[in-house]
Amino acid sequence: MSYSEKYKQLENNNNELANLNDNIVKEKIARSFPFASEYLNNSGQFKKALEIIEFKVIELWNSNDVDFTEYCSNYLDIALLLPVPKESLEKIDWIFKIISFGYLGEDWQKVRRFLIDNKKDVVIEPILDKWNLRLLSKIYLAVFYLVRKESWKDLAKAIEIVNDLREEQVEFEKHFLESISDNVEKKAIALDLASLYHLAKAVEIIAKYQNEGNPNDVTEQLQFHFAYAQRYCESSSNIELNLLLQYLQPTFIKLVSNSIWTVAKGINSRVTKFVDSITKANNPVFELLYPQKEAILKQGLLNDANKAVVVNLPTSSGKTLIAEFRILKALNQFSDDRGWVVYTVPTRALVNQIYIRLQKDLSQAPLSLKIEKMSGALELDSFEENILHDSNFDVLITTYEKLNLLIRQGIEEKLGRPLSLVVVDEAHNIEDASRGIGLELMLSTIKKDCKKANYLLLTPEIPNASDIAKWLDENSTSISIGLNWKPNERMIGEIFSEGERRSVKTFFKPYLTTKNTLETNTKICVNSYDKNSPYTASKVGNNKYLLTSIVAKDFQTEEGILVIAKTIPDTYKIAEEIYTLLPENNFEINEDVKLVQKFVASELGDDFPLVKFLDKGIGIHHAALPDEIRFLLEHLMEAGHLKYLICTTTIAQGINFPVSAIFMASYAYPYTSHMPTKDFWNLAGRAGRMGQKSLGVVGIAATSNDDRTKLKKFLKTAADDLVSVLTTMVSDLNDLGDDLNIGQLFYKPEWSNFLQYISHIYTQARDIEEFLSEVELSLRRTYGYRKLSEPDKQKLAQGVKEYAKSINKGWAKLSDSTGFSTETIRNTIMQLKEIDIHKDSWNKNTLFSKESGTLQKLVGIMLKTPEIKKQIEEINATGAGIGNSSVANIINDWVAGKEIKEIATAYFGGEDEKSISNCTRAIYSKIVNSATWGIAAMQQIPNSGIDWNNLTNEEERQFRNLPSMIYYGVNSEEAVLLRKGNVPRSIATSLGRQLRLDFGEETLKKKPVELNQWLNSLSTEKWQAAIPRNKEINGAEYKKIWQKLVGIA
Amino acid sequence: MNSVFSHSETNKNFSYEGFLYQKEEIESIFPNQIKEKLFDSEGTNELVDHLSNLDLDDINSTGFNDKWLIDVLSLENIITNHKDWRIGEAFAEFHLEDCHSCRFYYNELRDARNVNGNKTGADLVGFIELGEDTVFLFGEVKTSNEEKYPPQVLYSRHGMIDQLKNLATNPQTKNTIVRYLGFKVKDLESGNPFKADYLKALQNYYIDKFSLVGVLVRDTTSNVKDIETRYKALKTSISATGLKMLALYIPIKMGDWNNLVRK
Repeated sequence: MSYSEKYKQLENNNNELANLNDNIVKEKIARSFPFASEYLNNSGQFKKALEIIEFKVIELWNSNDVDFTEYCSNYLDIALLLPVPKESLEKIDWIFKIISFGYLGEDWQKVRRFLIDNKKDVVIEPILDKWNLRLLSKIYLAVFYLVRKESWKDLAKAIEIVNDLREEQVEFEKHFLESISDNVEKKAIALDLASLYHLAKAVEIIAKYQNEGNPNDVTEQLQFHFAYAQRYCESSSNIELNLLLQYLQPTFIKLVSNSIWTVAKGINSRVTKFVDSITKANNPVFELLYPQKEAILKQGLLNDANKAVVVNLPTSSGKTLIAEFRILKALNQFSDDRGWVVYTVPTRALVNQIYIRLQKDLSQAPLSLKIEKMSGALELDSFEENILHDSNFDVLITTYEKLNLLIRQGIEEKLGRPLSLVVVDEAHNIEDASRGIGLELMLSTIKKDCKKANYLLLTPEIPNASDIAKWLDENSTSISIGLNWKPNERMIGEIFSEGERRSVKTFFKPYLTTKNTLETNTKICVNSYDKNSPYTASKVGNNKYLLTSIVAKDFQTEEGILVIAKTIPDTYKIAEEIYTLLPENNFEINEDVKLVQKFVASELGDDFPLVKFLDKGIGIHHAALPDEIRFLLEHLMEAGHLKYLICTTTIAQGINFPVSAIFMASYAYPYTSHMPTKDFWNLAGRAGRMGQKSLGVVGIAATSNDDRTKLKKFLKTAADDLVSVLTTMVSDLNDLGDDLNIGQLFYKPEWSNFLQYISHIYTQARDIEEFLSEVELSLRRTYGYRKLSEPDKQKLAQGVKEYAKSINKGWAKLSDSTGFSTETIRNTIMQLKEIDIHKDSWNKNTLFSKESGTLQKLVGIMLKTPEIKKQIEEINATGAGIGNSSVANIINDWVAGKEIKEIATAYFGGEDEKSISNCTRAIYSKIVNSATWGIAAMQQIPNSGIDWNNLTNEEERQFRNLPSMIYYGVNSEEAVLLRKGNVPRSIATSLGRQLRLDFGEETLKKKPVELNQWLNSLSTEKWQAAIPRNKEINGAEYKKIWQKLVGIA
Repeated sequence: MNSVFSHSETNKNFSYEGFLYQKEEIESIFPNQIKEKLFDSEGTNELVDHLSNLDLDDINSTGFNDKWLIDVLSLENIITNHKDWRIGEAFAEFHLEDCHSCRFYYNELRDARNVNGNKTGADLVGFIELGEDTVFLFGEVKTSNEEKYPPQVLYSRHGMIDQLKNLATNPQTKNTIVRYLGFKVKDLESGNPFKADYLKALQNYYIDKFSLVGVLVRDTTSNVKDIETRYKALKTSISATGLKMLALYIPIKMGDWNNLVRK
């Protein structure tokens, strides 16, 4: 049942609670929209509701009824809307209830956040004059620390308070008891004291347990002390204390069952070490969220029988931690064989984020796991080859596409160790039109090639999760968290405007959605410009980005706001509007923001608009920004240093941190009417920080009735089953002739992926007969095939058989190593022959020189390669008159280390924002992916001039690292190495020279950890010396930027 | 026992009444029912019971020193004299059970000996019917031998009227008690009359249905002025769904009550 249904039940049974749900929703809204403060007047009704809910909870006490949990959660929901009482004893009572009901309602994370955010209101000065009250008030403080636990120090503090009380007892108790003359009263007080001593002891026990996982019989010990505490206060007739103990006992028991120590008990020693280290970390984890606990304890996350687990949870439910447990389980299960784990993610940014997280959590002693990452580049450079050769990593993090390449190249065999677990983050991408099939077929290949592999797929809510689990392993299951557990509350609706001439009002109207979001019939006025609007009503009413900018500007929050635009140019327009609308000097610019501002200016030029936007706490975030800048902006946003982040619909999917509100000028991807519902909800899930007081708000601009109707319909559309792209691809078979040769479809990227899957299987078959006899089986390994109609299945199988007859085994092997279809391979072999290149052409100085013309010719071939030509063509589209030679020249300049400003001026028309943006977009979202892949693939293909069997080691290494020079935009191998370690491009080459000076021959053998140590200990003077001239950013600042990029600052 | 004056509103939920007890009646009730209630209400028996189950060794396990507590908790509990107001309360409770079908299941609630707990609570908490509905009954009792009509305990600051007003308007006091009772009944079997009464009364309490009773216990002659005026004023100023004000006249001087109880 949702909150609102529960509240409606209460409304029906009590006249005083009429419109309770609506009033709660409005109250929450009013906290975000100051203009709606008229709704802040329901405290009388809320108090009444609390009274009733508390009785309901007592009625259901010990019943294990889901109603009990929900009522507790309701209690907390309402209590957090009311002010904390000022008087100490009342406050103690109030806060103890908030804590208890929060825990019993499975919402401890909200309680904790509340205590952190409201420390001033919650903490009391201990009452010192009477020993019994002194005890009670100090125990209260100890419980505050126990629940807040910002670090282990809070737990130590709780223990210290109890110890202090023991010492104070000597001083105060006797005197206090003697001051009471009436013996009956004296006795009653003594009983109360005995009761409180037991409570204090319980606090100490639970604090120790959370910190160390001891004692083992913690629950029994708590029960013992609570039983005595109850008996004493029962005897003393202290009703208030009695009630307090009634509430605190199950709360403390809940603290034990939520404790990460309890959940991890008896799994294995690695897990125990892991728990020990994350409870001691800077941002420690002491308790698990409800879904995490459920997944492990009740739903078999760590059960050996579940080979494939699909964790089907809403955004922000703590999936990474769930993955960490599963990783440790898998490593332990296959420790004799030295099994390894791969964690695969959709984006480069996520590779970095997950790498930093796993490094932090798993690589420290005593766990000391070895974590490696591989870039998103579709090739293996010499450094990545080294990772495979050394073969001692435990966890590898990389993108889907890179993993696909690794699997087809037989990584398991190369390593000589079994892949024991594949973690697929954002696995709903299986149905992504362009990338989905690759992911699906990769998993299908793993099923065949890696016999010991287990699977953990992390997805937002999808209806058919268990179907997906069963695809990967017939006996496995999915983990979905039922109940009404939500990491945070959200409200989703329309933003619109009304008015005429310069009199404009903006509104937010929440809508009914499929996800239990809050709803009210009232349209909420966000702001009213009475004849003084900067724009006319018709302009605001017809312009979504303007409307979105205005509403975003008026939204009041301490936290960040995400603003979504459809296209990259729109992000600048919106940022510019908000910038103009915000008053001067209203934003206190943080040191970190200043640092990033300098960095942006140094990378993209002082005039790049982002530099100015940052002055007012506005960031932009899209595919046309360098990875480092995007990462830094995310970091600033996450740390609460930015107020707005304006991003495109596509890039928003990669946002992996919570914000308080999301305002969308568009909810469509380019060239679509709307994004898939799963993507929308995944994004909407970022609105609302876990446990924060205010709501997560998602507002979507509507400027017409048609918009409104479509939006309402969209929000009411339930998420569909996850569907394989294969089910839509089969319709292409109808376009083929009777021979059904699917090879003809190679020009379509999704079919190229499919053909690669087939040719991979073909390479493993002894001969065509064996392959043909197993076609059906190979197809069955995919998820999509099972969903096809019988006639389609037959057609596809027929097509595969026909295609197989045309496969040349040599080409098939090349297909595996290049990621091109065999058809492409065949065509490329011929084209390479035509351009006549030799081994010498691959010398970096030749390849990346304008004079040689080699690169230009290779780009020409890329333009005929279906797998990558679209991206190269898109570069052409961004700047007027950019042809093959320009693309090659851009690459040359990029590799030569020319600054973005220079490249933009040379090829994109100037240094203005549009030119810079076109330039960065061409480079970061097109060239680094496609040209890197293209070059790496062509190196492998006959007629490339490289005979890999007859190269010296040095030649081989140099050739292998060429594509990475394009990927990272540098022209030395040392610089590539440093770029992998997140050193900004602008100083990578010169720092690379320093690296060479320091390590000589050994330079290229340096491991990431050694490099990090070197960079970290390198003096600021040496950092300074590496900076190109005319930069305003200094060495210390550069170093700090780098530290942020690697997650150590 | 005779009704000496009475008044009832049309809906019967609001009324006042005076009762004059006969000497013989009191001589029979005090040494029996009232004595029983008093021993219970001062918790003497129960406290001794509780403590004999607690060997006090447990306190040591808390890491706190148990010396002083054990000394205090081992003090003998010799009741020499019941305070008059306690006798008055016990008598009021007896009367309500006997003549008005009220039920009191949990005597400790009457006990205000612990100033830290229940300090603002009602003197009496029980159940009564209002028409067809079972509701919580919250009561205040005042005992007085003052030869004034009404006596000061009725209208002074913290007097009965004040306390009844507070009970009517301040939900906190009532809520605490009702919650406490909620925990008391939760483990009782479903047929238990306490539990049955509680659950019925709770449903009515949700919609603010409950009843108040004020009992004045006197050793003077009966006089309608003890109650009439204050009742009328109170009736219009409170939100309770029921109000009963009673005056109980005992024809034995207050100074002799203790002897009678211990007879």
